[in-house]
Amino acid sequence: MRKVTKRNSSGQILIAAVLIIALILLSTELYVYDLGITIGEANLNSFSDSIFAIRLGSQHVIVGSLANVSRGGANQILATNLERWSSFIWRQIPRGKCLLNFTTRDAPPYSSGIWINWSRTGGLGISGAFANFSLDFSGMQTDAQMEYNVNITTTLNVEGVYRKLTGIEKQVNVTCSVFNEGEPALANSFVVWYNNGSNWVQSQQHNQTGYGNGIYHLTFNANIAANKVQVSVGAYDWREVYVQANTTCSGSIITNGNFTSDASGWNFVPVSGSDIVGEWENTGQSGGSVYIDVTTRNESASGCWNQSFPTSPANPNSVTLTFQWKCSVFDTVNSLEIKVQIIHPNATVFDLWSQVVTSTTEWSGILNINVDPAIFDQTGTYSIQLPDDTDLGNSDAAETWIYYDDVALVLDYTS
Amino acid sequence: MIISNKKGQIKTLEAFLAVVVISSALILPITFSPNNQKSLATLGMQALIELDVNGTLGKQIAQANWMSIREYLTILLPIAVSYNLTIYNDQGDPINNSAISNGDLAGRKVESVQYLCASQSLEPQYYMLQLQLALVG
Repeated sequence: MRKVTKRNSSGQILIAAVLIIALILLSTELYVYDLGITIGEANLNSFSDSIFAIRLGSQHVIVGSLANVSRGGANQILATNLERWSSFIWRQIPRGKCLLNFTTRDAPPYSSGIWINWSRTGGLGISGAFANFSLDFSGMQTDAQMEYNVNITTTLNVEGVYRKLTGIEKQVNVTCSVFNEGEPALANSFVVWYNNGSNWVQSQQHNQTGYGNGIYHLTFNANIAANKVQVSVGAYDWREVYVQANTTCSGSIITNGNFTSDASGWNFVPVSGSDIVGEWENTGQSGGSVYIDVTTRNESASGCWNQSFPTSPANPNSVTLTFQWKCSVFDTVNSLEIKVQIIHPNATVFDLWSQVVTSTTEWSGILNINVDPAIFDQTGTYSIQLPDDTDLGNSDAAETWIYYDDVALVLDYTS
Repeated sequence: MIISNKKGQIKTLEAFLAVVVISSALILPITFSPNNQKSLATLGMQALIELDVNGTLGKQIAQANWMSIREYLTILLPIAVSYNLTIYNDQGDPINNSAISNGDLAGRKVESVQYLCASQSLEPQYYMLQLQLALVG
């Protein structure tokens, strides 16, 4: 009789059963986990993105409404458009509710959420809109309440100078700075008016130069008898919001004192030393600036920026010099002195201003200097000079670097 | 003669193995993180936001510039994503009279995004965008 061996294989059965159970568990858990993550992430991202999109839409509605009002529309357009937006959102959100409430700001200077101020002095104009929002969002799995506000402003800052041409013809140079929400912004176009003494006249042709940083330089010629030229500039920003600003241009006899795009009209004259350089640089300070850079160990150098200008008639009642400066490098310096000077047709040199520099500085801001009008006691060709006199110390890094900008000289003949 | 019985040890070993397998089955899904990637819906939503953030989306819709919107989306979405965009006005009527799409979505697992847009114009217009997305391949 054959003997049957009874093998005990309960261990293998256990392992097989465990493997099957593990596989079932694993597949089920993976499915649930993957599904949960996909739905959860999608819902969460979609939810926050939806709220952001609604906020973005609110901003667009306010910008469009402000553009409309700035072109003559009623202030109430803002509220009407926001009501339509709110109603649209309510109708379009499926499987939930989305309630967008808003209040337009009515506290001064706002009226029905709109602030238009184009009559400020100092060349500043503002078009603005402001609204508060409250969003109540209830979805399938998430509820949220949030409040936010949208504050849209387009600001235009205008300043200008003119110089006399022949007769009563004047060349007016206007520098415009455009801002959106306080940040430099691009403009689509400008409209320029000037006061010819009796009427406001639109300039039919002006040269416009943009520098890509919100600063624009407008130049036009006009017959204006008055000594002070009133200019009004209207700007459409890239969002089509309109803003207007007014300024009175002073009659600077200096050409290109803002150094907007180059140093044309000026000459750099090295007087002594070999390592002194004068160049124009795009500093973003109303375009650019000119500088004088002195380098090299123990270098002693001087040089100046110079411009000549004819003066007629003589004997103005008052003369004002304006300019600003900055020292960006001051390393191992024995002495550094900068000045602004006028050279009389008889070669007499007048110091209008001087400064001993002892360290690096920020821009000084526009300095206003009252100049003795007796300097301009005769007609003829005068010169303005911006000298730099540097004595460097014993170091390879020895260097000075001085910037000048916004130079204007106004001769006022009014009594 | 001593006969050693190893049955007990083997059973212990088998039981230990079973515990390890079951534990692995339980722990693995927790440590498994398959979803670092953004979902298609999120990608679609963020592409539309990117296009809308400076008002370009509303402007292109107002100008019925469907080809331009298609080009923007093709750039903003990954190459492996097919999409089809339908734009409705505030009355709920579809307004894009040509397809804004880069491929056929038929037979694919489709995710859908709804986006509300306002144009940044003198008279703002409101649109609802339905963006359908699917992975290709």
